[in-house]
Amino acid sequence: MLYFGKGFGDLPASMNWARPFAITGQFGYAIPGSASTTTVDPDTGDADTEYHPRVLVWGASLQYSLPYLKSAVADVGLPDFVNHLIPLVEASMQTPISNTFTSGTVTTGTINPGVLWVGQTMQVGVEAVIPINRQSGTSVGVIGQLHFFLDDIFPHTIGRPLFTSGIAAANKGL
Amino acid sequence: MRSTIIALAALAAVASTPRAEAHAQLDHASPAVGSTVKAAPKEVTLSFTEAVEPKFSSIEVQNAKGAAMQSGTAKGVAGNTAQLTVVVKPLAAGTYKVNWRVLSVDTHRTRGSFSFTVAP
Repeated sequence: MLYFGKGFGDLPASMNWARPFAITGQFGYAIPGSASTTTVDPDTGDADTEYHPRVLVWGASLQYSLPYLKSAVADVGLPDFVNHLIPLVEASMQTPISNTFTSGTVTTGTINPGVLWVGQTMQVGVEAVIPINRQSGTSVGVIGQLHFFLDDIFPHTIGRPLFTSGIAAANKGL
Repeated sequence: MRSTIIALAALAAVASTPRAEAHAQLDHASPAVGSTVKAAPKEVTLSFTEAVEPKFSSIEVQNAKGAAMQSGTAKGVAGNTAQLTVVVKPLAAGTYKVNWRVLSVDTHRTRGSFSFTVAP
C-alpha cells in the first residue's frame, strides 16, 4: 500500500483559514490468497465456483486540524474540547481489475464523514460509513476508533528512553 | 463477494484514518498565536502539551526580513517543565515569525511556527 499526504500549512498568510486543511491518499493492490472457491451442492452435485478478483484499493481523506489552527495559525479562544477536534471526510474504494468473472468490475466503496478528538494520551474517532452504490451496501453504518498512546500513558516504563544519562547531564545547571 | 468487499472497505477505512501522535505540541504562547499586540513583548514564552528538554530545544524569532530577533537561547521556566522562554530584542512595529523546535522528555522531536504582529 502506498500512502501520501500534504498539509496546506505553507499557504500564504492571505489564506490563513485554509492552512489547517490536509489531504491524504492511499493506493494499493490486493491479491487474494486463492483465485477461486468451489462449492458442491450435496443434493444435486452441482459445483459453483466463485472467483476472487485482484483489487485496486484506493482512497483519500480531507481533514481540517483545529489543533493546528490553534498552534500555528490563530489562537481564537475556542473551547478546549473544540481545539482537539479534527473533522474529516474519507473515501475508501476498491476496483476489481482481474479475475473478475463472478465479481464484475464495478468500483465499490464508502464515503466516511466524521470527526476525531485527539488528546494527550488517547484519540477517539467516529465516522459514518456511506456506501457509494448498491454493490457497496444498502444502508449507512458507523465506524469508531480508539487509539491509546502507550508511551504517554506509561512514561516511566515502556515510554521511557533506553538511554537517558546524556539528557540528564545536559540539563544539569538549569 | 459482497461481504468480502465490505470487509475490505471497513479495513481500508480503519487503516487510513489518521492517527495524531501525542508528542509535545504547542498549547499556547505569549504573545498568542496569530495575535496582534500593542506593546512589544520583551520575551516570547511557549507552553507545550508535555514536558520538554530545554537543552535540546530552541526558539527563533524572525522579523519580516528574516533577521533573528531573539537574544540568546531558549530557557526552561522554573516550576513548569512544559514551558520555554526566550528574550527578544526591542521589537518595532511589524509581523514576527516564531519557529520552535523541541525535544519532549519522551525523546520525540516536534517543531512548528506561528506569527504575531506588533502594532502600537
